[in-house]
Amino acid sequence: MKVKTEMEGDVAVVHVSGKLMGGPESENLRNEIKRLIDEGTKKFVVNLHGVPWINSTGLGALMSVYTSVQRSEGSLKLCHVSDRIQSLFMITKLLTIFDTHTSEKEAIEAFK
Amino acid sequence: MPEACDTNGKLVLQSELNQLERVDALTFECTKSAGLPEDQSMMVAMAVIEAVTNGIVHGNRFSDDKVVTLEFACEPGKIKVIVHDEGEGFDMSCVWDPTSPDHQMDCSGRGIYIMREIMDSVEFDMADGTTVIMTKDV
Repeated sequence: MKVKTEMEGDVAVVHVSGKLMGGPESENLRNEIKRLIDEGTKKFVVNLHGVPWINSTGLGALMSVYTSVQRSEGSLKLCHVSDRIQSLFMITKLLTIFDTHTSEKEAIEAFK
Repeated sequence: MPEACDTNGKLVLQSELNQLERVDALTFECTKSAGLPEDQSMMVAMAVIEAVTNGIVHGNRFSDDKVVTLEFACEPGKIKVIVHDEGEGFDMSCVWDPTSPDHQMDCSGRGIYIMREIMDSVEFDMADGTTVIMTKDV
């Protein structure tokens, strides 16, 4: 799994690609979000365009970074959520937790 | 390239999460062969991935010496999936509802819930390792 961040003004857009299946690879995402929080970033968009599917362990990784951002009084949005991931959100009732957007632009504009 | 599969395929997997891609492809092919529509095949694949993930992570604890076995034993009108690990089993009383207000923000504990939501039946046998037997009506 690869993680790459681009700053759009004060919004950190974190691009994730590969399978989000938990294990050591998920640490890449946790570590990147932690680094950005430590730098003072408050606004996050996690772009899941490169993530075709995840399992419950991957869901746990997303919950973990969401909670970290909340605790730092920041806000996290998701974009480009595949149908498959959306189905998992629906089953686990996480659609009520995650703020999801169809595009990166829409997610960034939602902060304004 | 998906692995070849009839409706009674079997796969022996090392206890590594990178095996899940094989599980996904094989399940999708087997369930489609059994006559399940594509969107439901995708859902069943997610349930099977959860069962195998549990076997690798919580059952075998990533042990090099232990394998997870995935077997499809389909019959007319029903898809049967059997996932076996060589771990020590688990306490069912420690399985909670991850959608309850107390647990909604938890970072773990959603696997069995997902399996039960997707499949028509999910049973556990912990006599020798853990065996998960799941069925889905076609």
